[in-house]
Amino acid sequence: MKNIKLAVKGLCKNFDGNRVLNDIDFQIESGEFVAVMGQSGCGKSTLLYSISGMDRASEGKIFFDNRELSELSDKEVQKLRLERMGFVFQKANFIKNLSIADNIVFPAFQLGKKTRKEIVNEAESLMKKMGIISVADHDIRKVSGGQLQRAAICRAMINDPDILFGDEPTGALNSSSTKEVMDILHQINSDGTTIMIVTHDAKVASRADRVIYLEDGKIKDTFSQDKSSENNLTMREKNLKEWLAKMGF
Amino acid sequence: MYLRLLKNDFRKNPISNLILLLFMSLSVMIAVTVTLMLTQLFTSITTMYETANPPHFLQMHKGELNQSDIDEFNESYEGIEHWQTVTIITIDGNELIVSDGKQKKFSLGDCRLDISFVKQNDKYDVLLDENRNKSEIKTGEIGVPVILLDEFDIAVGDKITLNSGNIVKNFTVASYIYDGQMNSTLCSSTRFLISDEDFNALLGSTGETEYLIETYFTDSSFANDYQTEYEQSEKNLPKNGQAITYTMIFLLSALTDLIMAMVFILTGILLIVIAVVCLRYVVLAELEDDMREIGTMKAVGIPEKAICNLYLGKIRILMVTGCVTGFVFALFSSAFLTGHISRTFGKQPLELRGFILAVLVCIVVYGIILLFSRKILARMQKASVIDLLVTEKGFGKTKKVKDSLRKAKHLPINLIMALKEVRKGYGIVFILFLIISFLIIVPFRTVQTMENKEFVTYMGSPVCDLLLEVEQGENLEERKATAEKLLLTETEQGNIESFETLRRVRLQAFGNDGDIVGIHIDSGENSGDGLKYLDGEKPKTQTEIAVSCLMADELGKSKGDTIILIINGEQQEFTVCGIYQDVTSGGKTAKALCSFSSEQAEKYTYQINISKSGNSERLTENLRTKLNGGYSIENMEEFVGQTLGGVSLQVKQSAYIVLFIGTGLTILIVTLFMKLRIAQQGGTLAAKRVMGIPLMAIYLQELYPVLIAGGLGVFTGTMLAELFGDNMISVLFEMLGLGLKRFEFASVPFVNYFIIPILLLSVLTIVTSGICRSIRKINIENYFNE
Repeated sequence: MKNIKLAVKGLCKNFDGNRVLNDIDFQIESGEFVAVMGQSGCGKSTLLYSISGMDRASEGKIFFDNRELSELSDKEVQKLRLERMGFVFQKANFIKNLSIADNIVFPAFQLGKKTRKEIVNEAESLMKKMGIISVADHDIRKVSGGQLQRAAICRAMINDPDILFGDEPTGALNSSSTKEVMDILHQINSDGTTIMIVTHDAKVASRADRVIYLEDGKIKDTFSQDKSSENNLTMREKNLKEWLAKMGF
Repeated sequence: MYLRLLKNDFRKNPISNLILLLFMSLSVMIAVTVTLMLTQLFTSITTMYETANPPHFLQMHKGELNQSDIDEFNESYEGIEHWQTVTIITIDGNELIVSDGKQKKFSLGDCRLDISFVKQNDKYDVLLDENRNKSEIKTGEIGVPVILLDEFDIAVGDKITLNSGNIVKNFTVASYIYDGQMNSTLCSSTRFLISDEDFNALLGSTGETEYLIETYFTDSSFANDYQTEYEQSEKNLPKNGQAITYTMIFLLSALTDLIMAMVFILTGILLIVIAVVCLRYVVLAELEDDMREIGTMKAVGIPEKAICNLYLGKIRILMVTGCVTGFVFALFSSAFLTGHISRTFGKQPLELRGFILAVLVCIVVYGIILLFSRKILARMQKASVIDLLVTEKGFGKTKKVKDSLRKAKHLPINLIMALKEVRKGYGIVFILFLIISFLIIVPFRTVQTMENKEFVTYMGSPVCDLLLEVEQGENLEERKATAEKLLLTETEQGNIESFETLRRVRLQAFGNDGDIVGIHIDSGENSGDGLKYLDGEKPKTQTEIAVSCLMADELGKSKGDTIILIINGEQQEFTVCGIYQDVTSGGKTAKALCSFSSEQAEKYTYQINISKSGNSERLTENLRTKLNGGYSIENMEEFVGQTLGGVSLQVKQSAYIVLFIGTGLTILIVTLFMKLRIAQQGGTLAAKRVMGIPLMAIYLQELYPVLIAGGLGVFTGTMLAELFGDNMISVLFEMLGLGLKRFEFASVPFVNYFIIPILLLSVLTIVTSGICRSIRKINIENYFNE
């Protein structure tokens, strides 16, 4: 039986009387990598903020591990985000006075479930894996965009989240940094973490198992790619682009 | 283009720009208000003095007066333009009833000032109406001193009834009186103006007759020398009362408003500093935001000056707007703040001179802020294209960031975050709280000291419970014997523990320059006991003398020097054994064991200590009943209150004004600072929220740095106030010529030291917590996508 990590039923979201998301239904299985695509203003980011509990839905239900988010208090949702979700955005918004390493350990210290030593070891292991251990004690202004985004992934992963959300995680990066970051996300997914990202970039979305296409706040269609084609990135990208062309993207 | 740029920038950062504008407006407002206030104050006083003609030297006198002695003395003195003796009738406030014929009815018994009735003078020492014309009062009418209106509700048309023994006389309040010399609550007296007819009818039949001996010189600076010669004159000129010079009259008149202006000047400086700090904060954040754009502009060869001007243009527009709004608000606020000046000195329209000066001040503030802006923007020139576009190093100084979370072992995370945070950008909170706590604590500690029982030692008297004075006048020795007999009886009855007798004589002494100076000496076995000496100690032998610091200055003597006194026509040497502080008798006194029995006593003072079983109030009442006429019986609080009454009240009022303004300013600045910070740190705060950091933790991480910086500021301010505050007050008191040279804050119960710091930190905590609540409303989506 499939293990459903996230289920969305009849999700609607209104802003100032306008319906931004309309009757959204989908599920994400544990370990799945899902990308959400669509034109600008179609509601991609709003969808991500709603299902991750950063924003409340106007109608509909969102289940995270069978717990309905609307039934949880703000404090419980916040705790859920800290313990079980990770976030990577286009702009990392790091704390300026802290070094790269301190920014990474900060959420774990705040959670306080592990000892300081365990947290530091975990952070160092993550930084090694992401190839940024050499800049661990650097000022955030003294590292490249790619390194910063990898640090953001480390920060998102420090509490071992069940799911990692990304809102245009490669939006501000050049092509080589984008590839680096996507390789890392793919690796994380292979290690078992569920991933859901919002992106404009077909190359980035082609790494996902499934692409949800949004149009005017509704799901227009879904496109899936087989895990077996994971190593043929060119083909995956070509297939996706053909489908996107059909969607009018 | 600059306007368009500003418009776009305003849309992008509305809160930062609004706060910047607010600080700029406030800085200008305060600077202009102070300018207008000071111009108004000095113009009002000088304009008033032109008509009112207050005396250059005033000697009050109670008792017999020989006018021909004064005339002879003045005729032989060079540089005198005019002199006159004004007769006044002192009236007990309890004998004056104010009513409006309806419900309003009260007596002036609570008036702290000595009330007197006077008639109008011709040309000198004229009492004015509110248009600053000579006030004309008809028979049956009365002019009420305007300074009483702060304390009493007296309206034009009200009735004032004088009910004194057999005399009952009704007056109608015709106008308010502006008095050139007695227009401050720091003075001890106030004058009501009545018609010549009414005055002549009352003279001798009610109240006590006193005299104001007034002298005018061709140059007001002659007053001090004249005072010395007047007091030393062989004619024994009338001097049973206070003497005051023109400078002191001017200073006392302006003191309330000067203190207010000082508070505003400090506030203004503080606000300009804050405006500059905020500007730095906002401009640097903007530069960081626009790093790529600036890098690109530099890369394509746009001159640095042109790039700089883009930002300067925005600041100029903000500043001009700030100057205009600040100026307009200043016109309103100054109208409000100069109310006291108008009430005290009469209405004074804003003069062109004041207006021009205010515009100049406005330009200076503009210049200061623009200068600092240029300095901040100079960083742009230092950053290379590589720094901006390739390494993205930005404009900040390259300071090494230390790993603190990873390496910290014991401290709680919120505290570590606060300690990291507080190093950057919180200097303004530290400075603000340092200045405000210092400014609040110093006047409060001064008030505490002045209210302390031991403060009496500054008045040339040891700590005791009651002071009984056998006042100067006829039958002094008989009255002294009566008082002493009564005190002995009370001692036998167990009401008095002990009492010491001091006999005051007035002698002449030779100063270092050979001048002869008059000196009041308190003599007696225990004279000089229990005083705090600035130098030396009390007299122990018959040839030793301790002198007050003002007297020592005048004679040019210090400890160990010899003073020659003229006793019974012969010169006798005394050694200065100690120097103490005394604010009584113009601060020029001495203490000696020698009885000077050949000299006639001026007065006797008894320092009384009540026995443990005795009751201070009952004893005072008993003494007052049995010793009426020619005695003054006061407990220590009354004595201190009456001697320094005006000054201590003024200090107390100033302390509360500073507390009020300081707390208000704290609330305003902390609110603006926190709003600005939250606006600037929106991205970081949003990131924390997204990560699921509990709101309470985010609040605490914002609150702790403010509390740490504020707490350090308050601690430093308190320490500085305790260490240097009393020195500052000493300088102020010395400038006032009160006879205090070394003022030391009194020790108070330990808890008192914490009241102001706790109050300030509570305000800080409440305001910061309130503002932090807005973190909850941060729109996360705004911060994560470009």
